[in-house]
Amino acid sequence: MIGHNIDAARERLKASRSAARKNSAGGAQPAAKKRRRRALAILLPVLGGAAMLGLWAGYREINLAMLRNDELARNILFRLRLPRVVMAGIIGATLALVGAALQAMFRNPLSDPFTLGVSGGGAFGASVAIALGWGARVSGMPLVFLAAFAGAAGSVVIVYRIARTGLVVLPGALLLSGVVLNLIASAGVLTVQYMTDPTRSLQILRWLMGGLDAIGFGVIWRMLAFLIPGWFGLLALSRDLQLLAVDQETAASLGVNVQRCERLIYAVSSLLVAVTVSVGGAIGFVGLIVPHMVRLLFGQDLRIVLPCSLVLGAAFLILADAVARTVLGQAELPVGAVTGILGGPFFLWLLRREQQYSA
Amino acid sequence: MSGDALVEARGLRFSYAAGRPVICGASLALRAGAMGALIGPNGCGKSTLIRLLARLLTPSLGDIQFGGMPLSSINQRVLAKQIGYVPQTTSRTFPFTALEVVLTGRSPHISRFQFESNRDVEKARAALETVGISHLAQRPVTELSGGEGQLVSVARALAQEPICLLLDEPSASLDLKHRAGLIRTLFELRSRTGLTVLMVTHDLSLLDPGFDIVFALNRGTVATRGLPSEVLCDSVLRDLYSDRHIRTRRVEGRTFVWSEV
Repeated sequence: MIGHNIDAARERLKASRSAARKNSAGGAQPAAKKRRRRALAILLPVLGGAAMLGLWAGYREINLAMLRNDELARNILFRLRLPRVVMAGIIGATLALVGAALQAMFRNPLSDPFTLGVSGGGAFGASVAIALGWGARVSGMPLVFLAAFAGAAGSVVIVYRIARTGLVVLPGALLLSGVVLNLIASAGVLTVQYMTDPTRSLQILRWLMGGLDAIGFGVIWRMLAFLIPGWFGLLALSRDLQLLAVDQETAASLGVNVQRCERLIYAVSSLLVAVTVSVGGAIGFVGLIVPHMVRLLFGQDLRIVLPCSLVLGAAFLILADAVARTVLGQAELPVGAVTGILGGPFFLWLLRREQQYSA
Repeated sequence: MSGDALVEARGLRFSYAAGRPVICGASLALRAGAMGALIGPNGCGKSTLIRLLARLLTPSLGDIQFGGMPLSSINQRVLAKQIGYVPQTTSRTFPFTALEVVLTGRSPHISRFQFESNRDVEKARAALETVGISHLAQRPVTELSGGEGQLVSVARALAQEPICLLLDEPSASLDLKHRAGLIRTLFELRSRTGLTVLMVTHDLSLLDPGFDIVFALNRGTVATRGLPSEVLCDSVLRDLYSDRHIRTRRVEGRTFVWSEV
């Protein structure tokens, strides 16, 4: 009886949804370009608001009057909070963009740098570097970053090799190998932590939880030197990703060089994730949640989803970080814990929805 | 054999990684404006052959000419304007609307950073109209039936406006009406625009009359070719499918083929 009621309710919901769709389809559907402009016109103010909130949130209250005559307040705002908000913004933007690109490329809505083991691989690489005390630089680049990049790129290659058979990427194998890779990576991190001395072990732990502490803009400029070209690289592939998301074989027949496109996306994604991991640790699920929110709000077109994910991802992580900084009062929660607590249940909900779709 | 052939393949050989060759020594030629069909038993390499012709796979031996040029030498984007390919099945992961999927067919005609113009949208809508599924334009493809999905694929390939259409069992899950409708559409396009068609099918009753040439593929090579009336006869088909229960009968100018149970 109850089951019947649920079924009936579901039918009604479906009917009302399709009615709504018909209504919206009554006129000509606004061209994709117009829809993108409209979406960004909504999201950019959201990002602005999130940034304001991020600057305002914190243990110490700061108001405009204080900025004028309080040196400490100015320092807190401009030297602590502002860099932190910017850091959260660029990391959130990057993770969401990479998530959206990976989901399209693998045609798997559960893909994300975290679930595919890319972040895990990067974390392992970086923790090895921290444990060995590699503070050195190779031609200007910190070794921790290079190690994270190697780890991230390695796990992308492994996951893909395992999941791909011929032309088809098996979605089950993809996620499973991502999960297993994450487990191996975290076992590796544990081993490294156990063997190294307590100070470094703690350093690894703190860093693994994900943190966005930044003092001044030095690190941020250096990150942006890598991130901005990476962002543009992925955005430039929007159209190819759109075709790949619809169907890989069809994309090839429509003139997409699938292999080259995939390799580019791997390389750029690993680079982007490695940059975020080596600075902010493994922050999970941003790349999963944000693209889904964007698709629910603005439709499936990747040429809309990618830029909107970039903007909304920034806003999302800024807000998550504001929560992390304020929810415990004077103490601070790692932002990775906040996104994990939000993202884990969301992932499960999505998984259940996918199951129902395919059933 | 050559001369006015639009598609010509000679001595093709292909095997998937470390397997036995799926295609060994297949040759075929299709002149411009011809309607061709590719038939044969399951696993004989029909889909592989059509993928080779669409350049989705590269033959290990042999060569393919398209419009008198080696297929492999043609720029991929240029080729995408010439050859349309309709796969047997497409992945349907994301709920793109049918119109969005059909619009992807316009992508070879517009540059990387452009959005589709209103004219492209009109062409996509016209393609949906042609295959008779205008009413599905705003429906998510994830909610469509198998047959409707196939029609969306065909519409996508038509929106591409190719001069040569390669279809892999487009009629497999279509009902009687849409099956005939699809063939009618292809004939219309052929007479209006000179479209060249090569279609893989198991539905032998569709071929006659009207198809110009039928290629019977067996164990990776073209065993027989000819007019439908020449290929669709007891002796050829029994040999092709290794089934002595196959019968054919000509009724009102059409050949009917079945296998006795």
